Amino acid sequence: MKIKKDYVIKQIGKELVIVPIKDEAIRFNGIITVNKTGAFLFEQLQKDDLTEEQLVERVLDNYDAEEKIVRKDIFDFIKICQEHLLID
Amino acid sequence: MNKLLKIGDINIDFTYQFDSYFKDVVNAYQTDEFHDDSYKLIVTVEKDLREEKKENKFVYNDNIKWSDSEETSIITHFPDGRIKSIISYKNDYSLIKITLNEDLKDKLPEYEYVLSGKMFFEIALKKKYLPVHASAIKVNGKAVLLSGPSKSGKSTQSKYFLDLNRNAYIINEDKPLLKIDDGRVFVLGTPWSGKHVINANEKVLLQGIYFLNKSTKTSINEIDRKLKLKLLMKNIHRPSDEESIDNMIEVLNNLIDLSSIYHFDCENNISSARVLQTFLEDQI
Repeated sequence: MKIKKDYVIKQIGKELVIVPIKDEAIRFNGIITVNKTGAFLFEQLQKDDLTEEQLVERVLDNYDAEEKIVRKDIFDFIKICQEHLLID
Repeated sequence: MNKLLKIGDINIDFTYQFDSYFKDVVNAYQTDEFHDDSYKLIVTVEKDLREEKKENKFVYNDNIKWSDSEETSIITHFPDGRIKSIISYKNDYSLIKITLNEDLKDKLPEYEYVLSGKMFFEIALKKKYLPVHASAIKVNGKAVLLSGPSKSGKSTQSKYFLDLNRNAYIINEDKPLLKIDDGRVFVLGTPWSGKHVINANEKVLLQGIYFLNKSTKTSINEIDRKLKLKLLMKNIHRPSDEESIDNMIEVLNNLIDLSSIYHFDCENNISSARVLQTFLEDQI
């Protein structure tokens, strides 16, 4: 899976938000607030086409985190992305 | 009609067809100075509108958007498939042409007003002005913004407030511009100001933004940064190109840091306006 090209991540104050641009801004008139993990997941899926397992590996390689929590975070992130049609 | 308009430091070379919404109103913004960097905004009415295809096609609702690296066209249709309007523009908005189908008949002036306004707000964002859904009222030398989506009571609460304050008046009843200048937030009127076309060509220091919420009890409460951002994002004109999005974020960041922003629970009677009036007096 990969994030569609017309989404960018921006910082507004202390908040990290995923913002649609160009044609996607017409289709989706919202923003999605994410934490640092969400921003990391977004950037990985923006760069590369990855499976859920590969995403888990990338997070565990970069963060000192418990696998169970990582899997839950990734599941929740993908669900939100799918709900808002952010993923190709 | 062709008029040169100056709104803040935005220069618009505006050609329009109908006086219904612009007569007298645009005169307050008119200038004799021609600027090379003027944005050309041209409205015409034609009988047969033809679609000009470009490299990329995007379809949404009944609309088609064609674009390439230089230009974009947005085409809307009547239910029977005929083209209702075409907005063609250079991607830097330096030239915008709005073509309306003459079959819109008595709706032509309204379409001209709404679509030219929509494109003006895109230009405004390019110049780092943020259009906000709000009724902006000048009172005691500062601007109070009553903000919220359609039907949230902006016009109603404004009317109550004006009834109480003889010296107060509206700068823009529907979508004023916010501009950050020297670390301060200013509110500007524009000719595009909702169905009643009430506006004034003024640049006034912002007192505060009050997000309206219909309620059975009146209260005014400060809100945290997260809620400020959420309410602002819901009530601003959102751009689609990344440069304008960056401009929007720059203004939002300053706005959240520099402005007083409140949640205003209000009732549908004059008592809420009285509470706001007392609240403002206490702020001085």
